[in-house]
Amino acid sequence: MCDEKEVFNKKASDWIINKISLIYKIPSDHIDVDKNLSDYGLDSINAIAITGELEELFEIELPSALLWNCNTISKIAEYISAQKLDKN
Amino acid sequence: MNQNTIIHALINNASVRPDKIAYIFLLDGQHKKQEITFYELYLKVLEYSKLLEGRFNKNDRALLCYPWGLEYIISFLACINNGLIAVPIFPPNTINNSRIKKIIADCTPKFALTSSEVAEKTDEADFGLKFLGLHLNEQQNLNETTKIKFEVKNDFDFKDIALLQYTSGSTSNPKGVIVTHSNMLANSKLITQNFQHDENTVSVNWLPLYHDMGLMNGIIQPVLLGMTCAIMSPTSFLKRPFRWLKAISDFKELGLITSGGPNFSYEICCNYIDEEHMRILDLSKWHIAYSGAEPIRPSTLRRFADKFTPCGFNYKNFYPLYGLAEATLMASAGNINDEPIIKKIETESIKAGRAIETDGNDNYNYTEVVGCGTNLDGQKLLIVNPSTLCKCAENEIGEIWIAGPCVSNGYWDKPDINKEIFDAETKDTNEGHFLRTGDLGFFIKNELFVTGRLKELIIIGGKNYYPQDIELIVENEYKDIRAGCGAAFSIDINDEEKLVIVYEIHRKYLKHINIEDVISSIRRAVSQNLGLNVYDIVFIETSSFPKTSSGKLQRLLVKQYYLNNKLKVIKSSL
Repeated sequence: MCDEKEVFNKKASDWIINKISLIYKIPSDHIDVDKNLSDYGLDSINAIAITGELEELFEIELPSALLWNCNTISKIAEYISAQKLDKN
Repeated sequence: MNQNTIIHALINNASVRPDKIAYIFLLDGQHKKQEITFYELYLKVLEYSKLLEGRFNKNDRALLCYPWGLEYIISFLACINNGLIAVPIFPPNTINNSRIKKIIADCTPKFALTSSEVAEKTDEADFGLKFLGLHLNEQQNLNETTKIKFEVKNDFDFKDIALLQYTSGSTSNPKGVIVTHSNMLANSKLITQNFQHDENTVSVNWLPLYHDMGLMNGIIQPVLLGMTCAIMSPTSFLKRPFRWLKAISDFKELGLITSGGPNFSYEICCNYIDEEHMRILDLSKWHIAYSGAEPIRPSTLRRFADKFTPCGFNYKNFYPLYGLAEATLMASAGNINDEPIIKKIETESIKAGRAIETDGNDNYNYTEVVGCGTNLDGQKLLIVNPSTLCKCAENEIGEIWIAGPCVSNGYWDKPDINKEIFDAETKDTNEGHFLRTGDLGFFIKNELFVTGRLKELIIIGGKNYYPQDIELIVENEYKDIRAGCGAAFSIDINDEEKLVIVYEIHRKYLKHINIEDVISSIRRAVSQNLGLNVYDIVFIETSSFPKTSSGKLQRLLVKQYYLNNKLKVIKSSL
């Protein structure tokens, strides 16, 4: 059970890191999962698009305001992995 | 019938092509669909018009606060049918309430029209306005003996105001652009001509219906021409940009597709659509991919075309345009069959206020600019020096001025500003009644290129400097500064313009660097590259920087904060 959560957590975390890295041209190893995403210049348009992609990737529904309420990568990953476990 | 208002056109379509689908609503962008024919649409408009009867006087304003959907379109058309001035905006929520209140104060509407759900939740006392949540019957009983008349209810004068367009800009001081029937028809006709639209064209629209581009391509053009419009909400698109391209692909059997958006919409398609999804796309019938409403970046056009050519997209189908709500929508347009015109302009020359072309082979630094087309029929378009108010020569950069039937008479209830903005006259040739757009540009052989906004331009020592150029120098010089999280602007000190640079900086770097050295190196870089002296360099806390919802810098707001000592300063050079 714990392992499954960890798997989702890591998958979400890695995916978001890659996305932020790609869009804002920051090397992945420079990205801190506990840092406020707006520190990386995240704007509301990309926030919504990222939420949409995470929905599709994890096959769950996510609130549009997810990235406002969970504003670090680790919080988002935590939220998603908790939702996935709830669902399964 | 050339002089139809949008209501005449709706009636005409309801009688001549009653069973043609007017709208296809893609409710979550893909699966759920709701369709409505022109005849059904007309019936709904009549029904809604009847519900409004007796509640207003002609030319009263009606605020449209519907959430995105069919009811938005119906209520808009019903307002116009009734001689009410439509003010299309958005439903209240915690973020935009103050802006709505300011719009209410500005245009003093009779009531707001919205869905019953929104009306129930809205505190009318808080807004000081009645919110009507009028119910439309779900099922239209077509066997009713009520005779449907295919005739226009009211007399329309083409000078009558159809709507007020509150442009997205300033939240503190909203300005409603007056759009008459005459403006609407003139601009729509030019769009039809230049885009080569006809009733067989299919519009695919995700743009907000309360913005000029969404209003024109989502409501006005489809109703005027009898085009089918496949429509999804902006949120639906933003959440899954793939849905936009999928709709374009899905509806290719219906006809040639016209669809577009601001530059960022093409960018997010590049960033959020993977090869897996692309496999099912066929974009070969996407005849017109227009781009407008924000600066068009050559890199975006190339990137999008590179990515989606395997799906049948053709680079030639890009249609870059310039426009603004103050001129109804479109202000320039090129030949629909040409590919985008991109020119390399010497960066140095831009600073001197001239656009000198280069082939890029010399060692001059160059900037690429995208052509937005030529002037429109029946319109005057000038480039005017914003200081001297004299006409500029070819290749000279100045403010874009426009006069013609598409240009608004002004903002609602702003006589002083209107005199200044909508009734400008050139000093040298005394040509009058021009709109000063506040945008800068130049002509090369009749092709218009837009270079920036006037208000953010820094003019020091008689030379023009674009803030983004200065910011780029700073970012290249010191990589640990947060790219894109800074602003260059000028302030008045003793009647002289002085350059100020404000940037966010990671606190952690403060431990490793000598901030004085950083300040010095920035000064040196700006001085060496631009010959400019920086009056003040300020470092502020990260995430304390005001950005727009699309991540754009708000330079003028930063300047305001700076002048009012509201910035969260870590270190300042002064």
